[in-house]
Amino acid sequence: MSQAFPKSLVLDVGHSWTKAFLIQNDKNKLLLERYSSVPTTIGDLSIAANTLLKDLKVAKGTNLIVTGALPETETLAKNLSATYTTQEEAESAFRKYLEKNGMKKSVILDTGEYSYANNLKISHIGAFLTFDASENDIENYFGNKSLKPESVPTSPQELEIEEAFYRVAFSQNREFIASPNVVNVIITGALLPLLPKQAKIALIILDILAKGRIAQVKLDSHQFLHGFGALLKTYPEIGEWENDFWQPLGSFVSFGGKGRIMLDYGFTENQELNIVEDEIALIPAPKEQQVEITLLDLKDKPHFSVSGGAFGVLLDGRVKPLKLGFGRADSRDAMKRWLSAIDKVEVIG
Amino acid sequence: MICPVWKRVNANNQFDLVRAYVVTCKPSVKVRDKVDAESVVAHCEVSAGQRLVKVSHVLGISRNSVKKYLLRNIGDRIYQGEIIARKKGMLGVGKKELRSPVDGVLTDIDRNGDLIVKFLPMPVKLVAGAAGMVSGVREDSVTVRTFGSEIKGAAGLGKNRDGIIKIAAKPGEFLIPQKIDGTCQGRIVVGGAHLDRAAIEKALTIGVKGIVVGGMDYRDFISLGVTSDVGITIVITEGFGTVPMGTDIFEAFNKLNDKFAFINGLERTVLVPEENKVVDNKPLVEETWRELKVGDLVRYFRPDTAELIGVVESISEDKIELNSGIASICAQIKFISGNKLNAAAANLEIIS
Repeated sequence: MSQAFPKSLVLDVGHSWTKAFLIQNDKNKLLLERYSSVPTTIGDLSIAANTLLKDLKVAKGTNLIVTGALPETETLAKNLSATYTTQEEAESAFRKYLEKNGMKKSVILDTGEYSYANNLKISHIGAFLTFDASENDIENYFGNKSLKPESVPTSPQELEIEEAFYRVAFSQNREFIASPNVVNVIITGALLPLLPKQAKIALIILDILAKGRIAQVKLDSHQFLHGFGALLKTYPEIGEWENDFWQPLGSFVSFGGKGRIMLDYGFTENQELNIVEDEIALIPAPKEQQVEITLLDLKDKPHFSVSGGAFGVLLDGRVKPLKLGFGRADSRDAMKRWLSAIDKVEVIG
Repeated sequence: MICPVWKRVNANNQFDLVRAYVVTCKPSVKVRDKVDAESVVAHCEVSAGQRLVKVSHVLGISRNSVKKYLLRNIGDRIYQGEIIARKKGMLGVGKKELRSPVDGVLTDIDRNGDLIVKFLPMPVKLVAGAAGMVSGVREDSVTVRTFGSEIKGAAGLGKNRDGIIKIAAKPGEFLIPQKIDGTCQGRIVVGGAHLDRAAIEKALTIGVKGIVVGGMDYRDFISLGVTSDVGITIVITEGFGTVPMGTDIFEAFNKLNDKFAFINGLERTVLVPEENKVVDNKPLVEETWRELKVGDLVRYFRPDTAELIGVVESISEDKIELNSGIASICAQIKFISGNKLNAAAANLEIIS
């Protein structure tokens, strides 16, 4: 039997950052009262934990829940007299929550799950850059990142390298590859929710979305996924409550070239659109809006029901897989063109 | 914002020098024993493996008849130069003898008619390496509390080795093969902003014990096997890429030039012990993280610049947008040159 939900502080100890969330119940709506994060103090996790408790001015006796990716997290929870949930348990509870809420077989793209490894080809990462860089430059960037994983990209070039890395890493995500043509995607982790322009996240997902596929994307803007899962594990009833932790970015459609689409908003007339090759277009649709879409140029004219979001329905007319190559000027130009196009999309959105 | 604390140069302090057993060893000291650098702290036995002696080939006999010509039995101890097999000739012609090439034990005859001789274990003494006091005796090591100076880098690889420090390049120079010559044999070579693969290969050929350098390419670093040992220990003081060695570290090495030191890749340290200093057995406490404060000396790593260390002049209360567009708590740093820069606090290391 579950316990009544008290005001709780959830600590999520990640490989590079430790996050704290002060959560309370407002008439069956979960509210994020305060949150903060500091680098994970490898060697002594209590330093980060105590700093966060102090930062958030947590009152004595507040219910504490701890989850995390590191094995030492369990000892930390014990020392804090907190309820401990493993990261696997937290993620499992979150997946059940998604299924209950109609998001079956969702794919979680978590930046925290990836670190640079030799099996990721540098040339694949480098192909997404808009500036000239050598393989050594890119490798050295990741080498230095491994020495200080909590560091944040300071220049636009560093940020591009990280974004390029997640494009390659996400494109190799087995769940994402094996998922059905219409896939629910949850984006979480340390970097992407912090990006200055959400349009950049949209372009990352569009870049890896194969021809004929549709992704309905939600952003974990507070990196609360594992913390929420840990809360769900202890208090399953909160799964029924309202929350606004998952920001709908909208539905992204990849045509793989030029194409036609029929949009049915439930009005008296449907809208038919032509997408030209290499175009990225946005159809405004708020998050509550359900849109029936039909891809008119594909065999059997597949029909899907999707919902809107910050970007409404994004239509991608670029040829997939993207024809990019490392060190090629035309690739750099193409990436600049697409970034500029998606920037304009955000202005409209 | 909390930041990691990095003691890059820790001069005139106490350190624990771990003397790890490479084979089975028996400690000959106990905790609190005083030791000199030459004191034996453990007795070890090193067995260097075995050797094949080609009996049938040397004597010109069939592989199945080897046992018949042996003068010693399987399991016997044999000594270098001792005749271990003989083939008698006819009327004194064609007589052949085989002498043992090593001290060892006759273990077996393989199916090719080769004799397997296992080398006798060699007694080896493990010395303290530094003067001080034994602070720990474990199954796999003896720890010696010693007095000296320690320099800690950003990354490293290779096991604990020792040698005399030799400055081979200035902080901003490339540590190229030409900088590594015969005088570097058995030494710990220090200096430079970049170490390339050709220089590592030359150092290995010459017999350099260790290299301390500002930076090297991550590709070369990984290719040497971070957890394995290729026969040389490397400590990178700053990071990956071409990064001039920090002035603080280079100046410390200048003072320690020509001194005996230990270099440990896994701990990314160079330890220079000093003689005749009193040490105690109290636990060594090391601060690993703490809150960043105004006035702190910090390192802000950026490739291709020598300007890495400065003083925190102010810390922002709110997040400030960086050039990348990401918002972060920032610290204004004043470098020795007088240049000022706003840096993400998360990217800083407090220099202790």
